[in-house]
Amino acid sequence: MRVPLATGELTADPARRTARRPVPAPTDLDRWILACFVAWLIVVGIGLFVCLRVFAPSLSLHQGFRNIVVNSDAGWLRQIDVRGYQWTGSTNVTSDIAFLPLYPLVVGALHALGLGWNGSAFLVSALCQGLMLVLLGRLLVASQASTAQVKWAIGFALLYPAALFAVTGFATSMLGLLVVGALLAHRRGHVTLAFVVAGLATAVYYTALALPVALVVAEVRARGVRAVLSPLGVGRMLLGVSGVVGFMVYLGARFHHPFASLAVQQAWTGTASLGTVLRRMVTLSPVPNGVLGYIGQRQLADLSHLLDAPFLLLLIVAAVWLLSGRHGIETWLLAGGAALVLYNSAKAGYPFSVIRLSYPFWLVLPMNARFRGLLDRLSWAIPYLGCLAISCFWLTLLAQRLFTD
Amino acid sequence: MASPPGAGPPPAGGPAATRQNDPPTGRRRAIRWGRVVFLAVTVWVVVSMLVVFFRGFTQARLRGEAEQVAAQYQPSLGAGWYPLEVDQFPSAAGASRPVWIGLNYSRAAVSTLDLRPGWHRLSLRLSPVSCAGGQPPRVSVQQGRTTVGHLALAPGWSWYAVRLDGGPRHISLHYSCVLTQRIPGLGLQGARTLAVALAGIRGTG
Repeated sequence: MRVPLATGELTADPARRTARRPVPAPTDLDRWILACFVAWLIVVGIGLFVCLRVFAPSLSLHQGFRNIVVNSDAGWLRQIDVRGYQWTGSTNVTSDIAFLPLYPLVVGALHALGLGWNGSAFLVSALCQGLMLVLLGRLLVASQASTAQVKWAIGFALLYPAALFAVTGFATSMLGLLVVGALLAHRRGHVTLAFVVAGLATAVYYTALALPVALVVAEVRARGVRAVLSPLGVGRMLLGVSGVVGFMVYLGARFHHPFASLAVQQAWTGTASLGTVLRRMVTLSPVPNGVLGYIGQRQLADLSHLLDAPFLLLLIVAAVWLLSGRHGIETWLLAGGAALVLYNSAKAGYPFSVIRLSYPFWLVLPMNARFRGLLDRLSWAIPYLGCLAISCFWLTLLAQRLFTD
Repeated sequence: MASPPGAGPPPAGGPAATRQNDPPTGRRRAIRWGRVVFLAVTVWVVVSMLVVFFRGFTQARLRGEAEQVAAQYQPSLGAGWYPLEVDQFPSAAGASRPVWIGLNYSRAAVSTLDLRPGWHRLSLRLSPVSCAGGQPPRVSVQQGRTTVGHLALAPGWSWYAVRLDGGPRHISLHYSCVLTQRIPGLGLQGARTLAVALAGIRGTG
């Protein structure tokens, strides 16, 4: 089926400002994307139902789906909403202050209206994912991607394993929405809005800090350093990190330690010194360590790290390859995101949640003409089948409430 | 008469030769440098990862072997154990390197084992987790409801043996004390309750 694209409504050149206009009506592309997303939700729902019946037959359907929603880190986010941020003062013990507040705030607001927390979390995650896909389609159209490229990119966004977090209480889909939204706003010339959205994203995950950095680099390349260092530019930069800065102000007032959230990350990623982390980053040791960890111990967590290893390697290679040619904001986002994901992994000593944390950075790569050219020359079958295989495996893990990454 | 530039036939070398004669543009230079940087970084990535992999391979293999040894007794474990994990411990006196040991930590105040048919003597390789207040940890071994042994655990790894009777094939280990230990881990919020670590089960007729 050919999907008509509303390319005439959008400009590909960020220098050509479009006049402010009302929110555009849904296009055929939007409807096609939403239909794909609804079909995906149905397929994933059936898949989870089958997995629950096979792997967790003792649970009722309600218990099974509740466990899927509050799987792993979602339990922390739920805890923030239920009892508020709590911290003993120790940076060696896991604490909910490691998690940023925007997702629990939004879910909590819906929860306060009377819906249960699990239902609220599912609704927020699923809505964010659906909206993110629609905006991604518009962003890629604005970047002059062809119909086939947009369809493949949307398909990839749905088959990518981390898309499954759209049915859980994770903030992954919210981060994806904000990243894509910020890039679309920037593409359309709404620079201040792009920084505001980036500021919101920094209140979801620390890896979102790559977004304001990419926006600043794009502004420097487009308008020069002086424009960025002007009062307006500085104000925008502050807006771009306002989420995480606001959370630090809260931590300072509440626990007298503005950087407590950063400090407590070591309860997950270990206490390696900065020198060790840098050495691990330069040698990319988390990638071989992901393989070695599985050779040493074939447990589920080690298998998850093994699956993360090729994604980390591809992330680095893609960033270097795109930086070495003509590139735009998507490449700087990828490079910043890759650096943060690599830092996390180097701190931990193994590939740390790479598939999940790098999701938004993969999504926007088809903005790059060189990347699109590569996609036209290479077969999509391998990435599609690889992601599909991991997604199916993750479905079984979610049903068993086991470790996903 | 000389032809004006661009008016004559193409040079013998064809379009490629024309490109060679063109002054290199900034964009072409940038693309060439981009390729050089990409190739250099790729070589660096491949070499450094191979070095890290082969340097760590021996330890990973030893760790894998320890897991294989521990996997053999996993079917004998009943309730009250954490899943198998492989940890590094100081080796016996005289050895220069720590050793990898596959082990299961106890999960509560009581753990159970399922005996294979024909076993009349059971040997367990145990290491205690220190009790609060420094009390010597003890383990009471029951076969069904009959107590078949009391073990006073020494620090470090040791083998302990008990003689079984012909009763039920179900053994329970009762610990005199347990330690509540918080484990920073991936999504693991709660503490875990430990008493012993088990690294081997042997049965003889």
